[in-house]
Amino acid sequence: MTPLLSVTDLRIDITHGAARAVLAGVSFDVAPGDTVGIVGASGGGKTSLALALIGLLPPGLRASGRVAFEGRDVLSLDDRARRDLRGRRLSMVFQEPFTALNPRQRVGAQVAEMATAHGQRDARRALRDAVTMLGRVGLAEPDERARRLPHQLSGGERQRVLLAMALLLEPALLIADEPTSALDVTVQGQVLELLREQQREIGMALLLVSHDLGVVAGTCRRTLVMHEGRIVEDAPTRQVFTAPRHPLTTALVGAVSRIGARA
Amino acid sequence: MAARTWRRLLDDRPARAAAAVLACASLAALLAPWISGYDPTLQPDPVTLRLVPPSWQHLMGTDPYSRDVLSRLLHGARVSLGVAAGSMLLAATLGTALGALAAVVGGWVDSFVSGLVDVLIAVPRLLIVVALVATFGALSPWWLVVLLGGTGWLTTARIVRAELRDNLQREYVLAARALGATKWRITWQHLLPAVAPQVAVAAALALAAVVPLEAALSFVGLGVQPPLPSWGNILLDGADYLTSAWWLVVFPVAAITCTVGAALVLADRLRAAIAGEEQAS
Amino acid sequence: MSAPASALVTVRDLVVEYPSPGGRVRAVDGVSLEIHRGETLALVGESGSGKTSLGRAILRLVDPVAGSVSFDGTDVLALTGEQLRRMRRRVQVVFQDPKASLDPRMSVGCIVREGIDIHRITAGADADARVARLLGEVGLSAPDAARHPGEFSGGERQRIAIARALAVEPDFLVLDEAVSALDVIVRAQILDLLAVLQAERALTYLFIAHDLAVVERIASRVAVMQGGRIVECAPTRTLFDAPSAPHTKSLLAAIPRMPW
Repeated sequence: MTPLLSVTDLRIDITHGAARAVLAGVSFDVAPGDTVGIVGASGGGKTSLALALIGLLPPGLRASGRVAFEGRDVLSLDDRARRDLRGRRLSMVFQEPFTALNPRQRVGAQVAEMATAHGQRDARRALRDAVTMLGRVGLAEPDERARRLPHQLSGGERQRVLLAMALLLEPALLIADEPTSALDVTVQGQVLELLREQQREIGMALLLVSHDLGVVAGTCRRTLVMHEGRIVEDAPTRQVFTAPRHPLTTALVGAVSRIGARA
Repeated sequence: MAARTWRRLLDDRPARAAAAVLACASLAALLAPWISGYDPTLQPDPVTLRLVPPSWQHLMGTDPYSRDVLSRLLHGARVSLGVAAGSMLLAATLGTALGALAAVVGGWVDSFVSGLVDVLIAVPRLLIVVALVATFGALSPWWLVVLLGGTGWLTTARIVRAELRDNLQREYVLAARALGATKWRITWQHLLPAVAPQVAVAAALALAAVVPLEAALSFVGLGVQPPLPSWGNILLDGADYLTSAWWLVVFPVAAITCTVGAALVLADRLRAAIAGEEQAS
Repeated sequence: MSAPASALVTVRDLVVEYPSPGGRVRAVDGVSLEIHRGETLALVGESGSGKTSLGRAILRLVDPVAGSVSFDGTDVLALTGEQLRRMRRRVQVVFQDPKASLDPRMSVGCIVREGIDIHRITAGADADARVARLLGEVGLSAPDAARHPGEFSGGERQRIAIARALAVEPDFLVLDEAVSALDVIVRAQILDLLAVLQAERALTYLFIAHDLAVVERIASRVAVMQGGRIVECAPTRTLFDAPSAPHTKSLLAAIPRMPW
């Protein structure tokens, strides 16, 4: 099967100040519909990798190498082609659900904008689809919730809104960067369950970034472990757990709670 | 964070240029008695030496009373910049103290200070100043400092109060309280350093506002009184000769404009440095 | 009911309220608990459960509207002025976000030293030596005293916050989500450090967390909070093996499981 995403020798460098590589050349493929976890300590380059894949690196960081998504090199696309890709074929959800939403716009309209920005002309139809999607991501009373402003929602609800936005156009790949870290633990579980469910339903590929192997374990078939800008382990998740090869992997496995094993 | 804000400002070319302009002006004012060639009040020959255009003897010409304009401008800087700097310091101190008091003590003190600021800020400053001068007559430079400083602290107080109230809820302040630090220690050690860059912005803006204000008062004869020169009353002396002796007007106006411009640039760059620092952290 | 001799902190029927646009919100709604000398009591609950308010009331950083808090036999809520300051020396706190809890303008040395200065524990070269010793104890080095918080990683900043708390030689430490903002590896290191410090300094901990998985290793007992009340309080093993409150069960169920 041809890979959906193919990353070849991706490097990210800091362009000024102390010259340092954030990412020292990583390569991996993601097949259509596959679920891949990226774990590692903070500062290991996970988030920069995720941002580079979607072409949203902050100024001061420069990516080189090749990121082929559906055969097109994301790094060399112009802004317009990238925007067209984003949301429609390639979506992303971030850790902090509050700052990613416009505080002064109703959330239903914000989700609908995803469709209108990508060519849906009928605004009413877009809003109707948005509300349907809000229901699908598990928001109770989606009609009523759609009319609220972001601050009138709980953290978990906001993350569901972002997920609805990311999933609205049924992308081929969803990149989720610590999507549950800012949430209460019970909500965390629900959001992860939702991710799994939607991934199966839409048949999209999922790239889940987390510092916690436990979050990745139940969701991803395959796990990449990142350490100081390199991939130090790339194996089926089960193998990562049962036969870790890198000391960091061992530490990450050790940090996962044993309770699950007992229950 | 504050230290890095200052460093950021030092790396900024427009800020350095503006600071240099203000430093030169202050230096010229301080050294006026030694660097000006003439006594600013001396009228050597009001008949033959009046209204002499700029020349090597008189770089900025002479005025209708045969006094050397450059010397008057340098001595005028002592008065004008002195009054401006004094009232800026007074306004910054009053504003910081009252704003901090309102934020830290809270309760009726806060209500009182905030109410006072709200009321006074609604009245145009020039109106208050002119009303007071009209009541008490023309003022000495010292009273000008009190008057301009006493009416210039409002925005500083507002900024300090808002900034401190925001910081009071931060965890580093809670940690200091948990250590047993008194309100005053927290204010002095943690809160005032946090707000210092914003106070500096307000002070630079206050300077930019007060220089033309003093000039305007002196120009209409309510500020610094002759024979003591100030940039405002030098202009007043030249006002009648606008068409025949341009140097009487151009040089004092240039001095005022440069000072105000430099203060505005400094305020603007400082604000940018603060914003940059907030973004970086 | 009289407190057993081993109780360092006793909280009775505590109520904490905050003003809000729609009237007053009750964050803590009649909580009673005891923290025994030398133990770690974990206080676990989701956001809005009142756990942080309870911790801050014990620290006297917020004033409760009803109830009592006693520390080592003294009524904490009745203390004022100098007495309150003396009590603060014995009760310290480490917050969640080490970025927000350290004054970014002060050097690490000044931050750690603040408590020493406030309580005039010592001064001059002796104070410097003490700061250096504290930094060593939390796994940093003496030259770090000259640097600023911004130059450190999240885990290192939390070590600085711990050193600051220890500087006044407290008996009791409130750890308010102290490891929640750290990644799992650093979290494990800080938990290890806290365990070592507890053993060496005979400290008592109130460990506030939103995640049961985090407290499993460090707590001797766990109190679960929901809606301003404690819904279950039991020894850690008992609580994990046989949870009784429904909320405890759902918190346990939410811990990411290893499928193997």
